[in-house]
Amino acid sequence: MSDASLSVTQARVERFAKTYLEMSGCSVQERDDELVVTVPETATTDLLNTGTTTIVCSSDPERIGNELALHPESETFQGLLREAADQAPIGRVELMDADTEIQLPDWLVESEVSVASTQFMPYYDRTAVVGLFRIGIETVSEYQTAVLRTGAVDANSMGELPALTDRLLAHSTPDSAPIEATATTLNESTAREAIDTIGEVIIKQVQPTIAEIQEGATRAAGAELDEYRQLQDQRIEELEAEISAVSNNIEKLSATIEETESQAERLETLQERKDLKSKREELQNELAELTEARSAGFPQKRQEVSNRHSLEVVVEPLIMTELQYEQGELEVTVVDSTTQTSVRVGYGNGIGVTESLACERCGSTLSGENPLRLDGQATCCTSCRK
Amino acid sequence: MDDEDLVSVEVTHEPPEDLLKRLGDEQPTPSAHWASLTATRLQHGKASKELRSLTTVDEEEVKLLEHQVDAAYRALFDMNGKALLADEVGLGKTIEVGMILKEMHFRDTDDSVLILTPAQLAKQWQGEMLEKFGLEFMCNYDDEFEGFDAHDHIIASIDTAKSDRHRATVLARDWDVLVLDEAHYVKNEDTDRYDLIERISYDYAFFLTATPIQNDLTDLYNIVTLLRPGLFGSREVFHRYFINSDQETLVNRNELQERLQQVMIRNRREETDIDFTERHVDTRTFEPSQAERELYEAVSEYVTGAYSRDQGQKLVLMLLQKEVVSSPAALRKTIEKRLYEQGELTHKDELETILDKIDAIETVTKQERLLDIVEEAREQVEMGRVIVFTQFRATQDQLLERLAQEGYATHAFHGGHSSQEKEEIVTEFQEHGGVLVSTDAMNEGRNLQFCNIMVNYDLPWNPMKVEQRIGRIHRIGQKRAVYVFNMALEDTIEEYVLDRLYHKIDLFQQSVGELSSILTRLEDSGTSFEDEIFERLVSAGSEVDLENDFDAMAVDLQEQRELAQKVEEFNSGVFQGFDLGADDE
Repeated sequence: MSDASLSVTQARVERFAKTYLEMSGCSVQERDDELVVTVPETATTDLLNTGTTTIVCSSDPERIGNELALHPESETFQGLLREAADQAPIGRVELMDADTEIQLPDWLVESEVSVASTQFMPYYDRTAVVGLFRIGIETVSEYQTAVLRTGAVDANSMGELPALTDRLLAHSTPDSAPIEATATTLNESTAREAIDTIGEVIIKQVQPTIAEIQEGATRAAGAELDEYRQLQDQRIEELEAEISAVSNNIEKLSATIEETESQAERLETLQERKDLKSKREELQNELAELTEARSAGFPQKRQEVSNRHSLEVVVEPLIMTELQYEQGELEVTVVDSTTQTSVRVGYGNGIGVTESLACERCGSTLSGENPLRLDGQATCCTSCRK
Repeated sequence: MDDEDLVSVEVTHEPPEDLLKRLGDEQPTPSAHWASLTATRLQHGKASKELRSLTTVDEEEVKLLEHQVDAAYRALFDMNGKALLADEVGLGKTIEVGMILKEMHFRDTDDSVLILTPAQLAKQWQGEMLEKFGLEFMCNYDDEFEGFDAHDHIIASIDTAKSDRHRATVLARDWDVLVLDEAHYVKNEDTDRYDLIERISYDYAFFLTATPIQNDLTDLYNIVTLLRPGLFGSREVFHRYFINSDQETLVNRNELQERLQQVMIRNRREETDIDFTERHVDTRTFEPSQAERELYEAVSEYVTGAYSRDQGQKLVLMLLQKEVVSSPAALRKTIEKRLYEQGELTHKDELETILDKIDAIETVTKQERLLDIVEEAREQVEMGRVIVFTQFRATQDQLLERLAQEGYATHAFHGGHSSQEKEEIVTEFQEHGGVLVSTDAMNEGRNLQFCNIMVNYDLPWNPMKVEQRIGRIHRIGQKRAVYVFNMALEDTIEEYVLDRLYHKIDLFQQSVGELSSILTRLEDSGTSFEDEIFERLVSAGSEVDLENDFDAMAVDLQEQRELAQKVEEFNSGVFQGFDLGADDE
């Protein structure tokens, strides 16, 4: 399932702005590169003041002058998106027969048999829930990756209905005629269950993206840990060198003590040696600690790095559509060079064929890889061709 | 040990309550749901790795420059969440951090943020984050501050954070973001400050300094190592490979640059398009009338006496001393409050005498002289626009009344207005001109570059406030030369502060940001500016003593300024030839 976001082009910006302002009760006149918007008192938008406002569809500051600008980065457009997104994040849409093209199953699309006609016979209405979710994946090395995904489930069975999302998305672009919606009839517990289920479905969808980011984060964390290991290795080498130098000095002092006759000087040198010994002990302790930490793989640092680089995936539902669709049967009339026959299969308007068809000869399930073949009046699979 | 399991994944499903609460909503229009769907899809149409919040920054409040946006982007996306922002002075490092935090807020990745600054800069940070980016922070100097575990977005003095009282709570949390301002302040690895930063647990860290090197190159090592332990190897390795034996110059520059580039961003002034217009400063001192002189002396005497008896009254005494040079009206208000509301009985006579002396003033000298400046402006600049700053509402009221009497269009701006009203006042001032008399509430983020004349009718004792006032009009976007007028009465504390201190450090001519480095240096030596001024004033035995005291303070300041400049030059030298900008690829 691809990202549900829409790339923002100037043409889309203008189309969406015009449609949105008009549906909010304004009248919009296009004049060269301007939109002249008349906002009556009854308008439902707060973006523009009552009266007439000229909006320049350009990002050129000289062209814009003191007028309002409309382009992908403009505050006007961003404000418009904010207001529009908040209009009705929940709605109920009826997907009627006329709204959708018949979706033929793969076993027909890939077949050598031609489709002469199709007829959908709706028997009853079903309800699905489609959710639009934002997934934010955050880790320090890449900061945040955000994707917008959709998922759909049946409102009763909570079974997944992937094809429905495409149907809804096809109707929700600035280029499509606005679909009409009413208030939802879903109760809270169904809505909640649907959102939870879709959330899980979506997480599965984005798993490859998560895995890719996790790989990058692991490399970054590993590099950080390596840097730290190298630093400690250098420190260990330095400590060893220091200890060795101090030991040499201690030996030299011991020799001096042997040779010194003056009591006072001996005492002074003894004290000096004592100081050096305690310094060596300190260094040895530090070295021992470091060596131990190294052989354990620097667990504390490892934990720290691991915590900092961990991936935080946040799944947030933004829009929920209760989608009513029709369930029934699809009658397809198929022909080959010699025969014409018809096939009936369970079909949901918007979701496609809902049941599988078996080969009348061998019982295999028809599929894109093993499509339909006619053997006289019998509907067979390609594999059991005589 | 295998590093493959280093990074875990935690999936959080946001509770759907925000969405579900809309469950019963009627559709405002039949197409409203389509609008929500389509708008949401378009909102997410930008590439993930873009600064998405850029369009939400109010350009009236902050004009983002290309180098700032670029720095914010790189710090967030290219540096493993740890960056040292080391632009030269005045290029807007605070703006860069504001931009980063705004983006993090926009993307909801800023659950807990801790900004640590030198004490004198904490409130300014708080103001800037709110005004320029709409980000609310609790400051440790706010009355509502209840500790580091009680708020999620905190700006605090680093010394407060490291104090015995707070240290444990600061360290007990896992902060999403740590910001460390004036990071060179934490250069010494043997200090409590360094220890605190080293132990704080965070995901993202952004350190700021214009001068990573204060004394020697070890400072650079220490600061970078705090952020990225191991990037430079051990101290000894760093010294061996990167520092010349004279300890002042760098060797193996290419390799050093390569490593520094992973963590440090440094923009240089010459590479940016920042260009400030000229600033002219005109300080005018006036001889007070006999009555004004007597009032000033009576108040000063009262303040000195009262302070020697009870140092607990310091704040109110400081206030009186500031008010007497601002206006008799401002002073009257406080004196009357003490006498009639707080029932001050011990020094009733003295206070009543002061009131009599206030009554004896027929003409307020500064007020009359202000008319000269305003008149000059009316004749010479577009719409005669002048901003007059005062610290006190009573002074403001009196000035407005006097200016109105003379037929000037006047506008009042103070903290009592709502945001909407403030906006209207500024628009009115822009469209109709005249005189805007403002308290320091104007510091709350208004840009008035359409005006180029300002008057410091009285002077804050905190130089940052003076800088903020000037910053309202002398900023990027100002197209004309700026004129700053300072007004003071001769032989008053104001004249001392102006003449002996502010002029000595060239306060009125300083480039933006320079002052904060001086103040940080001062703070490091344990000095609080306002207290210092007050203490010198009340403890001076004679006028000569007072002059000498202020001279000594000025010398201190001047030294700090020279040191700050020297350090800045040194850093420029060290990093000269370094290209720490973004790759062209």
